Amino acid sequence: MKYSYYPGCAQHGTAVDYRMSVEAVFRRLGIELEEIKNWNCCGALHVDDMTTRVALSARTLAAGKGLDVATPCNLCYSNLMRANTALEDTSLKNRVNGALASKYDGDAKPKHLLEVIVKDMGLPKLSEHVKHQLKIKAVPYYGCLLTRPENKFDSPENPKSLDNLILALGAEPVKYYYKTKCCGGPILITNEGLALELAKDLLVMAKETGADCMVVTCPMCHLQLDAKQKAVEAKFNIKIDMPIIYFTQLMGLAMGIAPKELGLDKHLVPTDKFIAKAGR
Amino acid sequence: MQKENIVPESRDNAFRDLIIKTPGGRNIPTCMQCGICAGSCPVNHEMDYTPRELVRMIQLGLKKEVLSSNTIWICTTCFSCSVRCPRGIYPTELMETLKPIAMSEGIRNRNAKFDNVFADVIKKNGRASEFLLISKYSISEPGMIKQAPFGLALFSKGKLPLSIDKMEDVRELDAIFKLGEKSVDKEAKESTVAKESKETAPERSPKENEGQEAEK
Amino acid sequence: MSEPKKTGVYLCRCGGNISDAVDLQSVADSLKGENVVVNIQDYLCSSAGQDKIKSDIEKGKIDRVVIGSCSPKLHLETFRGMVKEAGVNPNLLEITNIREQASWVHDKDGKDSVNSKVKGLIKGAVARMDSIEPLVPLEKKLVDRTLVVGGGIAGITTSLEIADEHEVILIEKQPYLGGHMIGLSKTFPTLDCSQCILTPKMVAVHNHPGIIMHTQTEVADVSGSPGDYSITLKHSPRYVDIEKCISCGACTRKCPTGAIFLPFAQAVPQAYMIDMSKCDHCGACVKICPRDAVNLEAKEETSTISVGAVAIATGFEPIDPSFIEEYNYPSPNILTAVEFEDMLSAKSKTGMRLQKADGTFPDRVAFVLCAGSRDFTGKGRKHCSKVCCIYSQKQAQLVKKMKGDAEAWIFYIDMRSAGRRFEEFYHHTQEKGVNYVRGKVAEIIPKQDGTLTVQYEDTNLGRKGREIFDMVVLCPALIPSSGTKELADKLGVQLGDDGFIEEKHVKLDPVNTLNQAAFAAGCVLGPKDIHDSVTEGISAAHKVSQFLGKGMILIPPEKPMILECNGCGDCVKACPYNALALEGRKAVLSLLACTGCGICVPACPIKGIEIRNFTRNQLKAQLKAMLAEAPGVVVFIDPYAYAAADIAGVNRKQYSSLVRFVSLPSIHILDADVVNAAFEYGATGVMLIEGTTDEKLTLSSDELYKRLKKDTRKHKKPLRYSHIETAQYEKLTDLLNVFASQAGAKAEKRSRKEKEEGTQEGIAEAT
Repeated sequence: MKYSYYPGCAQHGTAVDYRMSVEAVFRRLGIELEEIKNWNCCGALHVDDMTTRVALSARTLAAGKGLDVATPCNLCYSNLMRANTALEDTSLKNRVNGALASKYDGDAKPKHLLEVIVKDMGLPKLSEHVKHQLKIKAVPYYGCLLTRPENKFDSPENPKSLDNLILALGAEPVKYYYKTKCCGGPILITNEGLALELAKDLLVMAKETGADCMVVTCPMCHLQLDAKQKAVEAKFNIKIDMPIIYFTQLMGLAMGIAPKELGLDKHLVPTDKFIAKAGR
Repeated sequence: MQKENIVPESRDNAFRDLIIKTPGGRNIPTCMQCGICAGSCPVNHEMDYTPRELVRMIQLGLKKEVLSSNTIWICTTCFSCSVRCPRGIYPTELMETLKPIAMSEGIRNRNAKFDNVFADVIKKNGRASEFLLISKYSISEPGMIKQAPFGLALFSKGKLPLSIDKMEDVRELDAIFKLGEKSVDKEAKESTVAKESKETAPERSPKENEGQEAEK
Repeated sequence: MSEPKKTGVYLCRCGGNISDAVDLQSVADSLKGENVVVNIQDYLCSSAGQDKIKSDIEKGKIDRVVIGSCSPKLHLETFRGMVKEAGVNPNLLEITNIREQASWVHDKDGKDSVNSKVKGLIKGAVARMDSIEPLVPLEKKLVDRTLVVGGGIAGITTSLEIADEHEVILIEKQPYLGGHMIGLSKTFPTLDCSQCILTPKMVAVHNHPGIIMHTQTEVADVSGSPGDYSITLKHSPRYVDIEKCISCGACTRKCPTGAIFLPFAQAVPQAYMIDMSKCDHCGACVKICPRDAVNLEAKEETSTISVGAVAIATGFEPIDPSFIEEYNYPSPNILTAVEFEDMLSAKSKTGMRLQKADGTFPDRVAFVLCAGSRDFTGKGRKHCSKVCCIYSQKQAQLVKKMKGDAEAWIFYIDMRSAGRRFEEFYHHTQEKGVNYVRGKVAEIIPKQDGTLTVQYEDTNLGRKGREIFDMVVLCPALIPSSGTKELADKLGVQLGDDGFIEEKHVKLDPVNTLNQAAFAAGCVLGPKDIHDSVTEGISAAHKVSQFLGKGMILIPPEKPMILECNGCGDCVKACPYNALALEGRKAVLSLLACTGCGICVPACPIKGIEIRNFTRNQLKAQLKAMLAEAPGVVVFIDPYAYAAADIAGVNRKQYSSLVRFVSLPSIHILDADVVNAAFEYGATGVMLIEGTTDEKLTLSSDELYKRLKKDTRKHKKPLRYSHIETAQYEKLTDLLNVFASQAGAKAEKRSRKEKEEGTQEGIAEAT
């Protein structure tokens, strides 16, 4: 299996731990991620002109060169998916292609890494790589942009793919009604108070389930829930202490990869107790 | 907040028609004001108008209130409203449509400032380094200094590299960003054209005309 | 008739509905030179309009009539009745539909194009009228018996109202009568008890000598024709003989698994039944039964009945709201309104107590309206389910009645309490202290303690709200009960795009269907309350009685004529209804078995068969006159698809004015002769649109299309086939638009090419 790989900006910064775990896990699974040369930012949610934003993603998709374009980031994924939909409008497509060095014909398939694992490779195949059944309870948290607005890969309100992945690793996905609610990430810089309020709701509800960790699929969610957890605790005067684990890190633990190789020491919420409980 | 009466002069039908024709404005005429958008919105309480009210204001063409509302900048883009709307309206995309129009009308907002910084960083480097973003934004937002300990915590974990992440060749993006300038211009132009035509050929009631003539 | 034929053409302005879009005077002027009398009226259907036609006939001015007006569905029978009185054969009057299929649907194309279309259609109709022959409808004896499908309040009412005059067979899918109504607690707006008013009716059905009732029974197959159906019924086993069981209950007391039970105390029929999924075949019930009524070996059975008419009263079912994922149904304490009613009804399993999953009374109950209704995204249903606003208020009142300090909240979008006594009911519910919130509930989140968080916007205040409830009742979209489509297809009855049965006329013929022997009542025609279901039951019964009372059914006389026969038997093989047979080396037609589909016409290798009044020459004459006015796209259309075009008209769905419908009893009548003629006379394209769901015909449609395509290839003009059910009128207009523009583009290309070739030839000649 081989994909064009679009890491997104966070992989070179705040999501270094995500990057480490992706590399460690995908190498062992034998899935080749060929990084797109000279890739550009997708514009996240902050390039307000939609034509520009579509064009930024179109350039990435054109660089896929016939392979499916895999990405680890919910934001990038949603921008790529939305660009494809927007480009069904031929006049927009012509305009966008006018600004691209290599033209995009609209037929590349963007895929989130979770989709690559759950749908393309399949969970039975993953089970073959599992060395330790993780005897923990985990909150499956998808965030908003993995399944919205282009809900082609899983349900927009009640997705199941991450639940199933957690199950395949021997862990128990808890019932979590907030699995696709907004974490506040996009407004972290501009409206921190509100962003923390949203993160708090998610963390408190996650805590209530009695889970050992929260599993995420997006660097933005991770930043919000892990790096900002302390700020949430301080602002609302509560104790959360909930490890936020990338799904690739969880896979890595089950596959017997050393926590350090997965970047688990780079979290701001300590992960050692969790790692111990997970049987490592 | 002072609320203005809705009178013919405050309604801009050309603005309404322009928005309805964009992809983000599709199905707006069929809104039945059920409020599932606002009920689904995680940040509704910070908005001066709820998404439902914003859609209503577009139905009426209340251009000034729509564009100066903070609603479009508060939205976190989570799309909850859009997937639930029973009429197929996409309030999230509507907000995205309104942002550049508001900016081109000279309406400023703190969030707009961050978006500008973000776009600049990408224009120059092709990629968004968190360090660069935050430091640039801090110049215009002194309150950001409070984030210093947070930055330090990230830095200590190796998550905030000071080196700037750059594309090998960023020139390829020039043409892409030109697209944006053009389309903002275009929408702004259409919008002013609409305004002008309204001013030159006002849809006044006969009664008003009478009044004016009497004044003369 | 020895005198020369003279046709009167009467055009209707329809109070502007037609004349605003069509210049009728210019249409009339264009007929100068033809041997016709032309007249324009404001309303042809009015007595003044009809009198004009009648007096023209009586004065001997005309002896044939072409009418340009609304769809023949509306007034054909009226007009034909009128000319019959005036002494003209009804067949010699035909209607050209210039409203639903012209003035209402070509707004965008400009008046000239519409005028030219109407001129063509009328000229075609005049040409056709010149050549058709007077026919006398065939009569067939009706079977004086009705099948009523569905034993809810609509079916019960229909049966009781018919049964004094005509025999009724009533079938019901469930093991008992009563439908949804028996599962209701109190009924609005009077709050009288549902079973108290329904039980006497159910008993009356059971005891009526004119009604044979079968429960656990469905329609398996329909054959025959309107007025004379042979219907196969499928009976699921009950394992207890209804006739023998005396409801003594001995069996239940002996049963170790609880598999044998009486559905509920007042159930009709009063008989026990077995749930085989629970039975372990111990035989205790068989031994104990004093009447020998239990038979564990019972199997599904079928029976065949003969009926003249069918009344469809199969009702509704609630949509399964689990597709609305943000509502998290099913979860403990989130129920549908139907489940809520069940709990408090005769069928109650909680002793008619309202209770939560833990058995306690819910102190805070929310009612969520429009769960899956008024949704235009394709996820839910477009229609308003009509009764929810009122029944949810009734349910809220019940909550308050059972516990005064309990809270009941109703979340609504628009409180629709239209009609007599309902606004008062709304007002009364408000007085009872029920809390109304204007806002569609955004999400319902179950909490670990069994309570439910409901999030919404109070749209009157523009503020988001969050409340905790003990119970949430979803008011789901009401949809036609499962199996409606299958039954409708078997009976040749059309459905709307919402899945409900399409009335013959939405306002004027509300319980008739397009099948003259099939009638409908109750929620299968759309969500409605008990009052309206009863009204429709009575109406349907009246229509059934009227239909059966005639004793005879008129069969359209447009049947095959066998003009020449070499005894090859190809037509016999082709006929899917076994209406043709070889007798003494000649094909012979059984008029009563024949449906007039015309499939035998192209089957005959020597072109010896023609359908009366749809002969090849008659169709060609019509096409020639029609296309001489202006070229267009000829669309051959069967009556079912024609009905779709009418619905498109009623909904003002626009399409190209190049479209010229030619109405046929079925598209299978066509052969290459007629299609080639259409091309020769100037059609830029030909479409065959079929709407019938009769598989006996549609299975050979593909073959027909391929054959025609091959045999008309020389014209190099587009030919297309499409199947459009009556409900799919939007698909129809889309297709027409696409095809018309393709045909137009092709024609233009061809004419350019011909021009070029023409000049080249000219040059060649010159040199």
